[in-house]
Amino acid sequence: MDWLGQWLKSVIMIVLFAAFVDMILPGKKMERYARVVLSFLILLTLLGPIVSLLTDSPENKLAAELRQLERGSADEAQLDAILAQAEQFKEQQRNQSLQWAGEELARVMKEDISRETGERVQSVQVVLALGKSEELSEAVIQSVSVKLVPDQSKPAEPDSKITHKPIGITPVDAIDVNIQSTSHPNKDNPENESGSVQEASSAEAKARVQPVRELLSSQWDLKPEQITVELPGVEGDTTL
Amino acid sequence: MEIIQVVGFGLIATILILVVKEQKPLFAFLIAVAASLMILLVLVDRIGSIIRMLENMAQNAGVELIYLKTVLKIIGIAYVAEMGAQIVRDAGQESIASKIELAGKVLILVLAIPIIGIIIETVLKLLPV
Repeated sequence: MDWLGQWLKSVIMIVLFAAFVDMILPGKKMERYARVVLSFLILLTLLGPIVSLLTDSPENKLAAELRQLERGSADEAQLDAILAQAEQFKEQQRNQSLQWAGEELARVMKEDISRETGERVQSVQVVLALGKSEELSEAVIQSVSVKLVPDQSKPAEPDSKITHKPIGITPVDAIDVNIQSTSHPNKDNPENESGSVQEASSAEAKARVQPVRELLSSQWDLKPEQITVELPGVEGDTTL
Repeated sequence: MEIIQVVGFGLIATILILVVKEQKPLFAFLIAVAASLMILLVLVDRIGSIIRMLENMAQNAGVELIYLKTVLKIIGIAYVAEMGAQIVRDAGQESIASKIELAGKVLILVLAIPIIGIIIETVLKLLPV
């Protein structure tokens, strides 16, 4: 929806500019010609999203064409266009390299986490950024986000008893409430239950997440604020 | 109260021109040119503030400055052409004045060429081959 807002803003601004120009133009003779150009400009703005979908963004194209028009000499303009394109390709290639390196790092981290902590990792995302020198060789890790596999899909392990405890208590409490009062809706107990389940699950989530964070910060020399570990749990997603 | 200064200056220039015109029409023309240029110079500062305001508006709205540039070029060409044509017309050279106007019109339309090019390119890409 962001592009829609931006597009609306540009349309409104161009129409305002056109109205302003129409007002400020000297004499009637130029008015018709100026109106033609302004109407084309408004049309281009209206078609903006389609133009950028099919080709380059209209602003860049217009800027390039106007620059070419001003310079007049075709050769120089062509050279400039080629150089600009080369710069664009370079940028694209650099971004692709960063993305590929990030994916590769994420794969290695995923294996590391599985091997060292025994956790099952759903996905790892690594965001790389270029250093001050803009050289690929000096790229640094900007952030790491790890998504662990939720607990339900985890196979039963000896140390996963904590999860079974609240589930074991739940039916007992519910039965007690039903016997004591049938007229009152059992309002308090489910809350307590869910609270205890939530507490237990958050404690368990912390216990699972902490080793992963420690491993990443020690092995990859990352600051704690760079690491995000997500654990999609029973009570919605837990981000720690 | 700049408007009073401008109008006063214009009136004085007109009186001067009327006086000089009888004796030396050439000097009358030169006075007219100088007066119009001076009025334009007085207004340059104000025009600058209007353009800055428009630029700020465009930047705040996130509109690309290239659109504003095109619009300002249209205004500039129209003003320069109109002013030149009127000065020449005052000197009695109607045919040259119309040529200057023609140049202004053509140059304004030339600004539309890249826009038309982009629109046509988009429309052609939209059509199935």
